[in-house]
Amino acid sequence: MKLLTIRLHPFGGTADRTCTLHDGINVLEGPNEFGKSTLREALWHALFTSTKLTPANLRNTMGRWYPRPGGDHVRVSLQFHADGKLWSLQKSWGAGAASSLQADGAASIADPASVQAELNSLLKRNEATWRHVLFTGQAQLAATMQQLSRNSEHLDDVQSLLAGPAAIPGDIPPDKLTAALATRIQDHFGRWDIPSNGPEKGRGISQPWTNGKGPLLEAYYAQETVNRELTKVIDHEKTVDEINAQILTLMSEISADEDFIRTGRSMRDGLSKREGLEERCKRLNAEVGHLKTIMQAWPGATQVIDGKAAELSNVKQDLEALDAELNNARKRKQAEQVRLAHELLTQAKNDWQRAADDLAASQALPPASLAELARLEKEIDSRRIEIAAQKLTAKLETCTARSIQVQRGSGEPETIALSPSATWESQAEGIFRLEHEGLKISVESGTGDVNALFAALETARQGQADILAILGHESLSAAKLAETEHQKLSSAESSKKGLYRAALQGRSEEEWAAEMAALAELPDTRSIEVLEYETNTRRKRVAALEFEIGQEQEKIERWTEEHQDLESLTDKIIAQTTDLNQAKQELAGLPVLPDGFDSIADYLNQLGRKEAASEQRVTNLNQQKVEQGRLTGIAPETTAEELRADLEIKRREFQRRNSEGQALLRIQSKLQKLIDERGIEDPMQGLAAAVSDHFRKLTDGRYHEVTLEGTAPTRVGGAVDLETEWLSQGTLGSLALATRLALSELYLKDMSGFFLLDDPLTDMDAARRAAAIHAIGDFAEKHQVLFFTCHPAHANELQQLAGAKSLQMSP
Amino acid sequence: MSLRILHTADNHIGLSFNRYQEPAKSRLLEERFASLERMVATANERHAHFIVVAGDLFDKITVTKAQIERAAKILGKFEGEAALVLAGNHDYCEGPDSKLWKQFRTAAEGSRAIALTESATHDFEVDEIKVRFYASPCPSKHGKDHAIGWVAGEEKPADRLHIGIAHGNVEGLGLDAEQRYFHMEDSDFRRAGLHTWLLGHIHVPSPAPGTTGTPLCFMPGIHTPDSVKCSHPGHAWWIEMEADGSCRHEQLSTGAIRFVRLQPELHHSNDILELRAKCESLDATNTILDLQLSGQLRQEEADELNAMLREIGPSFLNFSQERTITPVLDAAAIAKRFPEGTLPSSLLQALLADEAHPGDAQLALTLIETLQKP
Repeated sequence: MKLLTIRLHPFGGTADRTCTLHDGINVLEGPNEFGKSTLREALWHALFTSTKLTPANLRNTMGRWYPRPGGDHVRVSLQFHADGKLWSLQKSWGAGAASSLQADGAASIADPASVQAELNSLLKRNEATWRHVLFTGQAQLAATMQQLSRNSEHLDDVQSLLAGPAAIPGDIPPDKLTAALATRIQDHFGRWDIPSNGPEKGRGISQPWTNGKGPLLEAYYAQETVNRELTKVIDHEKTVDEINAQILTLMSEISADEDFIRTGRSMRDGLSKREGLEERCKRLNAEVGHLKTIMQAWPGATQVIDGKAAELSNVKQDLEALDAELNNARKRKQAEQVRLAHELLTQAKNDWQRAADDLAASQALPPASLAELARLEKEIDSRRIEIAAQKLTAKLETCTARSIQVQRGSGEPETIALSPSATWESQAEGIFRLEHEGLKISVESGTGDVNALFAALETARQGQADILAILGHESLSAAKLAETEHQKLSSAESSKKGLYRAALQGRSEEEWAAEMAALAELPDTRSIEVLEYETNTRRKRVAALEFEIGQEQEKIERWTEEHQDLESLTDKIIAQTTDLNQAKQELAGLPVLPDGFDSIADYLNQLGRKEAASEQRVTNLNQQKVEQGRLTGIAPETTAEELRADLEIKRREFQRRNSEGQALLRIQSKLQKLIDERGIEDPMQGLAAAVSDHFRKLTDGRYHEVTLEGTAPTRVGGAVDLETEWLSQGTLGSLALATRLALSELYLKDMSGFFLLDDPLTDMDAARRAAAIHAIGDFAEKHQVLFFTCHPAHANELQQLAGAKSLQMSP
Repeated sequence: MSLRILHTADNHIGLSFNRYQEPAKSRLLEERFASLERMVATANERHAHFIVVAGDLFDKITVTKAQIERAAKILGKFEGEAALVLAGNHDYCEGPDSKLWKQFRTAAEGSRAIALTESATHDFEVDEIKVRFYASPCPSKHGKDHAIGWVAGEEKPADRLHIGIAHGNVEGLGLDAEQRYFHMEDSDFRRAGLHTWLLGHIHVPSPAPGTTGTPLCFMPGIHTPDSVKCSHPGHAWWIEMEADGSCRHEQLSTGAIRFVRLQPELHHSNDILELRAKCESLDATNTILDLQLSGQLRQEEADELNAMLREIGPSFLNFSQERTITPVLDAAAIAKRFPEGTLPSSLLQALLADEAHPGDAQLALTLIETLQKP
């Protein structure tokens, strides 16, 4: 940005004036009150102050520049080059406030915020940079130098003064900010354990820290103190509630039993007496009843004994008859068994007789014949086996059909039919014979005498047939079957005979017949079961009657012993009845047993228990009332409701402090990260070299190195190596200018911009001033410079040495 | 003719107001009595038959004798049939030996003030209207079970009005999550079978204004506010009940002091002007004003706010404020104050970028400003 004109119409004491600016150095020279400050402020506000201000802000910011008297607004117009364009800016504050910014040939912007945003863009650097680096610093420099001069003897921290004029105002060295933040955190978290988020060593309000407490712990203690108090109050209220509840319960229980106890006490003596009388009445009642029973029973007791004795006699007679009948019944039962045995004997005898008859009808074979038959049978079998072993095969063929007779082995001759179409084939044992039309052919086995075998076989067969004929059987098997049958009949006869003898049971048939005849004479009876039942019933009755008779006899003996006679007994009954009536009369006047109790003893026991319980309750009640009174006496002044409201405030305060602490920790973390990053990419890189270069020129080479802390010079090096606090005032002025020029170059770099200096040469001697003017001249070759001074000589030197031009003002 | 009742409750005479400085404290203490006095005067002017104090006439059972006597004296000025004073949960009656209620009875002797400290019925006949009150006092500060259960079993002759008097939380009206304050529900009232109930405990009135008919119960709310939690001016019910049980009710404003808590968010000058207008609309000499201010303001706006509060604050009966206002600190503000590239500028910009903690940058700025002070 390069300024062309600035018009104040009006602003401060200036009604309407326009200043025209040039490239290079523009000098505005005049005494104090000439209007340099007014011009500077007008330029500043035109560039940086919005026309949309709150009334208070307007009053505070622009009010002092209203024309006096009666002015209600100020206005500044500005023309400048920026970004290759010509710009016109106009701002009015107060009545008719308005903003207007227009680029050459473009539409005007009127919205104050938009105007300011556009201006900020054109100015390239932020407002603070302009304020502290490019705009007002040199006036502060002069003032600071003066202050330094006045207080040099006792100022021990030149650095703090230099931090304003020489360094960037507002900047803080990293170490200083880090240390300050650490101190703040340490103070804030004093006696607070951050990891556990509680007091150090867990020391709560029961054992609080007294020294080194930070605001966080203070807030925590304040909150916990109220909380503790609230807990106490709540506990107290609960305790009081509990005591009250216990008192009410006790009173309710006492009240519940009160009527019972009062009534019970009034009845206790009467009921006790009633208890004795009731017992007596009960006893007398029983006794009178007993005597009356005796009175009634005594006269009839003898008759009872007689009656029972007669009945006993009858029952005994019945019993004798029953015994006789039972005996016969048992005999009849025994005779039935004998009859069954006799029937079995008769049956066995018949069976034996039939078996003997069958055996007699059967013929027995002579043993010798049977042996011979067996031998012949074996021989026949032997011969047949031998003949069968000499087997022949015959094949017969014929030209014409014909029948022929053949005999195979010992078989019978047979007729067979031959046919031309088939060969007849057959086998024979030992011999094959053929006979046809007188032709006889006999073929025998060649291994032995077949005919002899056949002859032997025939002989044996004939012998067998002869014996069978004698025995009367057709075949050997029939003979064998007849012999087997005979053996069976013989065995059966023997068995039946044994059974018959067993049925006799050692007796003769005559003896059996005699017994059977005797049994037929027994009389008829009822069953044994019926008779036994009847007998048992009679026997029990006999026993009962004998017992009852005995008892009655004992009673009479006892009554006689106890009461002598009926007359004496009557006297006793009268006396007892009189006593009973007296007791009943007395009872009628006594209290009765309340409902719900089984006995007076139960009632009196319960009364006693209730009295004891009530006494205990009264004791407890008195104790609780004492405690109630004590608690009321120590009741907290403040109620729980009030403390809750207080606690709410304290909690908010603690939360606020806690949040603040966390914020401090986050700031610390971000600061450290920032410092670490700045070490890599320091935006102020090259500043120290630039300051050193300017300082070398301004001191004519006496110093050539400046050390910075942040943006503040701390040491200079050259002919001598000094901390800045040891520099002379003039050299300090040169150092300040060098720093400011270097900073301005750093910020402006190659951009178009201006630099305002306000009497920077005041404390310099001629040599330093000349060097400074040359340095400013060099700077002005790249950037526009506005140089305000009240020293005509300085203005002249600038014009002569650096080609500065006077600021043109009109009118 | 109708039965006329002025119904109040929760007067909390004896509240200490220790958090307030003089003269506000004395004024608040005095207002508890003054408001009660105004109610008695109103009851007399309207020829009420009964004043019913449905519990918590006193704030605690340890109120001073002087406070008891003064309250009894005020109620003693009632010219109607009776001023019925029920023991609530703050001024509960722990038994026949209750010091508070003994002192009250002594102080009220000869007057129409009657202490209701036992569960019992009280029969009256006024202007040919018979009425039976069912007093259900609190025996302790806390109570899991309500005190009105006994009423259901009582005989209720048809020739009279039946009105319950009780104290405790009511379902739907108050918050009593743990049910520690004699919690009652509609079903309890219905089971009791009365024409209506006159209740105390909850500091907010019920039924809602404009309700007609005979409500199941009346809750007058506190008679004059005692904290910022009470946003109404203090109320009592005026009830006119016919012999058939139908009724007309009117809400009376009875308090003279207001507690006002304003919680504006301030972001620009207009908000400050609006707050000022609100404050100026209040009856300052009778208002306890508590401002809880939040938001973000520029320095000049904060200055403006401070000036405004300095001006109007002292005019209030009591003025307090809590602030969580942070100065507007944005990139533009930082640019106004710190040249680019400086450590403060870089730090503040980095902190501003942390949107989760918008206050951090301001805190850092405060620290930086401290360091920059000569």
